[in-house]
Amino acid sequence: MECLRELSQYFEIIVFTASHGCYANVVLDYLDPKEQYIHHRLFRESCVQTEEGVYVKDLRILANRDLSNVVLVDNAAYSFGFQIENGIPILPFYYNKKDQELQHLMGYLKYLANVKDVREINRQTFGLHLYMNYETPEKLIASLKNGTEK
Amino acid sequence: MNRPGTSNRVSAEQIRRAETPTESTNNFTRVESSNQIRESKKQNVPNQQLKFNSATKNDALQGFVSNINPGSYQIFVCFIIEFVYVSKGDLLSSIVTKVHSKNEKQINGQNEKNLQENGRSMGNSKMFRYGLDDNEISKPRDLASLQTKSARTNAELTSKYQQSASNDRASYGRPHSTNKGVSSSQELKGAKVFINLGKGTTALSKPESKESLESNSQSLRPAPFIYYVTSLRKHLTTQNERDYFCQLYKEHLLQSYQALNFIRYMKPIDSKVHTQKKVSLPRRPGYQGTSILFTRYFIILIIDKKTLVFDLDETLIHCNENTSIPYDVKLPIKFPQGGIIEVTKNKFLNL
Repeated sequence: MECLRELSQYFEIIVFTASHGCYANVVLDYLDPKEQYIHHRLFRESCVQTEEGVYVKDLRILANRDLSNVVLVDNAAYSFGFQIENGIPILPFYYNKKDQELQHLMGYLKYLANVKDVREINRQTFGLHLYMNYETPEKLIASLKNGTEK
Repeated sequence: MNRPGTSNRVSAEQIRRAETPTESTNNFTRVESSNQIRESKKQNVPNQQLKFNSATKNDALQGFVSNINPGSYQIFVCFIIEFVYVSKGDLLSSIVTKVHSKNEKQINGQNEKNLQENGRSMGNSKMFRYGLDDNEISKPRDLASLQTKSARTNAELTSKYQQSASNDRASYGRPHSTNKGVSSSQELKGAKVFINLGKGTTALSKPESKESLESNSQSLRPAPFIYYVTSLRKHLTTQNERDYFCQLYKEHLLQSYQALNFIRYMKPIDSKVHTQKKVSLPRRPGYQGTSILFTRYFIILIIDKKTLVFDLDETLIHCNENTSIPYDVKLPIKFPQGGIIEVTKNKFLNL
């Protein structure tokens, strides 16, 4: 909760989950019962479902938010597939006590709080848009190892 | 190397540029700069060769609003966030106090500004924090640095993040400590020069030129830590099959690769669907609206904060229906179709 408390000083925080509200609300009520830090909750019905049945979190549904000021932190890359440059990847959390990814992420997020357009920084930092330039994942891995992303 | 008197000439030139109406620098910097100079004049700062048309607050505001550079918004936001959340009290008095402090330091520390620049270039990472903070606000800053800051592009900011992160891999979330490094003239002129490279302080037995110090620090500086990217590269290179995070990073990369390629060839979503799904979320007080605050020395603009959207499962928490697995919290979930199940929740966050 410390992380959310601190980040709420820099950001408006929304939890956007592909889970049902009946489950997510219970969890979020436990995490933030007074709704102090998580300002809004969006559930499965707000996701866009593709023909293949994948739930994508299309940020264009946020009517009164400029996408240059919105980031989505999600362990599943397809969630931000429609706005790759708004996406921030994070390792999936499987209850490993040594997992400190969120703590590492906080430094980056605090930095993003002061930039003009988050998309440009994400693009330059993660280069997720370049993943699609590789025919195979092996080529991507080789390129990442050498630091020669194209 | 800076020649004697160079800094004053640079400042004068930059101030003239700042006052030129056609100049593309943002007006916040311009207003701030003129205020600083007026204040310097009041206190007999040896900067008399600079001539300034003292603008009224209204003039400054008009120019500020009409020719505002969005990049400057962020500077204002930083100020405001820091003031509001650090002082938690009388905002205006806090601002005035800090501005007084800043001006005094600026006046007294004019001779040190070149040294500060040296400190930056020699790996003093604390000069480049992720945003403005108390320390940075209270640091004496020259006009040149203010203008440079206002003119930064996002690309420069990215490199700033990478530079700042270079020595901070393990320090995310830790209290900020001031790293003095090469910050005092005595240290520079003396027999020993200390360079902080993040892994301890190196003492050079002979005074060296700025260029040689820079090259030394460049060659010894550890690679910058960038969230996700550095760890990914490290684990891809080490290929430690037994390491949990090594495996997880590789799996995550493959999943991301597949997911993004999958999305690439997907049919675009119907615009009607977007229309149906649109939500207009109200902003909370303190997170909304644009307002302008006047203080004695500053005009401060408060703007909307950025929006951070978090996924829930496997990002913030991990849930499991199997109660035999160790858990932190057990919560009953009621489904609308009927039936209650208990899920155990493994927290990512410290509650």
